[in-house]
Amino acid sequence: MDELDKRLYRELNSKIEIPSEFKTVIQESLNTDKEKKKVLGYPIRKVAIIASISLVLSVGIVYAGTAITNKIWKEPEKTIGFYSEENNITDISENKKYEGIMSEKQARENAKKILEKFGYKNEKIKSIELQNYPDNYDVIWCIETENNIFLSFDAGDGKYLSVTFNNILHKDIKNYRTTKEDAEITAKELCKKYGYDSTKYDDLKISTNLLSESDSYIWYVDFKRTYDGIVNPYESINIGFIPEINELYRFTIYDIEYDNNPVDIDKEKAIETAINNENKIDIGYKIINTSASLDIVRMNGDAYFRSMDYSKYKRQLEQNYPPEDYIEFRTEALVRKVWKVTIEYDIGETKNRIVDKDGVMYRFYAYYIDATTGEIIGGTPILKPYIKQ
Amino acid sequence: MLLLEKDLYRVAKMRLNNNEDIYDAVQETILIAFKSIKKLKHVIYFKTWIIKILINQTNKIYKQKSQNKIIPFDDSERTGLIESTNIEDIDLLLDFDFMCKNLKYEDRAIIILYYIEKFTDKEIGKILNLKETTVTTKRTRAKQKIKNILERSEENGRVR
Repeated sequence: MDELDKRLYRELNSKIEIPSEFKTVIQESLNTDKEKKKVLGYPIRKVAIIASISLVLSVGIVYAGTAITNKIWKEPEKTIGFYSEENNITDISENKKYEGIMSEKQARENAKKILEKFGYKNEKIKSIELQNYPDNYDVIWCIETENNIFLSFDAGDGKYLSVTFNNILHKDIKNYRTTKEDAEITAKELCKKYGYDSTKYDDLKISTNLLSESDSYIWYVDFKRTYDGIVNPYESINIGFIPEINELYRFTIYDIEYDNNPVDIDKEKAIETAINNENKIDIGYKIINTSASLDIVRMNGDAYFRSMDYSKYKRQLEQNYPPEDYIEFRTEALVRKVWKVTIEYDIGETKNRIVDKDGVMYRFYAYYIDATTGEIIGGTPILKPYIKQ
Repeated sequence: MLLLEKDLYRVAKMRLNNNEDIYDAVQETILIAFKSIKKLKHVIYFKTWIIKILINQTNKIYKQKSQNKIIPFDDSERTGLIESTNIEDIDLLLDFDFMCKNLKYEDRAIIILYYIEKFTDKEIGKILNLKETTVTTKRTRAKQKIKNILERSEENGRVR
């Protein structure tokens, strides 16, 4: 903060005079019965909503028990065959479901801008397709150019972008080398060159295209943002490049809004919630261990489906399960801080995944217990638990 | 004491100079807030949400007034840059009126939302429908403009 900042904070705040009648204006707005009766249907809800808005305007917070609660879980939408061939997106112009998303023309223009930004002018587009993206419920535009460059970006608010410059692989690149220290510097410089600020990402991981770093000629640097030491995978940049010539091979950016919700539920309560839910399902195997750690995840309907129809859920995990029959419960795609409660089962073998008479059984299943509301907001089977260092 | 009272008044005053228009904008905002309260996903975003509604209402009233060519006498002060050399003007430097007179609407909205309302660039982006990076750039430029004005004033021999 420089001297001008300090002055602005100090002086801008000191000289506003609010007319005395302004308070009356607000109070009258809150108490106008005629308007409220026109707007609200039910007396109880009316009282609750007026009470909560009055409270918020006067003290800036809302207490539990009013119409505004702090619950975030809503009944998810059931879909069947969402990712099947028949459900491929063909015509978005007349389909209300795709209202507001980028048109093909806009996508082509956006692709051109992105390619120019990365130094590729006059690239010709070979194919362009709109696809459902299973990872995050988004709809994404997938584009391939004649020079073998692949781009994908979300068709909504542009919070996801991935570009792969396969054209680089045809060049003679196998002799270029670097070190971990230099790779970090190069990656940061490349981010800056293309207009991305890597300084806000404080978690960094480096990997290479080959097992041996000394033989590798493509280096990947993964930048992620952390909150109180917890990595947020939804605010990240992943950059792959050829060292020495510093040419980009791959660039992926995620910039999904994160609620940064506080931790109001303790670990023991989170484990209790997960176990209570698990005990309602006839899993058929004994729980031998539970553990929990804070994590940042995206809400999903996996735990909901598993609780509602466990046998169908297990069957669906099998390979070659027909995509047209695949059931998914789609939730809001909120990114939240959770207690990731991992439950371990005794499945009788040393493997972490078996196929029994009912379908696929994983040794580990993780519940996402929202760290603020304590609700189950998702889950996932785990092949191998991630052990935090 | 209504704690958001000052915030609502200041934000409305960024766009509207006339108190009657400000009162209309705030009343309309409260009514819209009642109607759309279910759209508010999380209480922690209440202030950002209601400020955004208020800004839309002030823009609406401003546009209506512009279309009807009703520009109150007070607002004539907001056309163009004032480079006053009067020594009395020192007292106006860096206050709310200074922002209104010397910065165009979007720039002063960003400065006021940042320094007075203490929103982050990301939150300001949501309120004004701008990208976070755009907000940062505009804020930096507006600050530079303010700095230039102050330096010009000091060069003309006034000491603050």
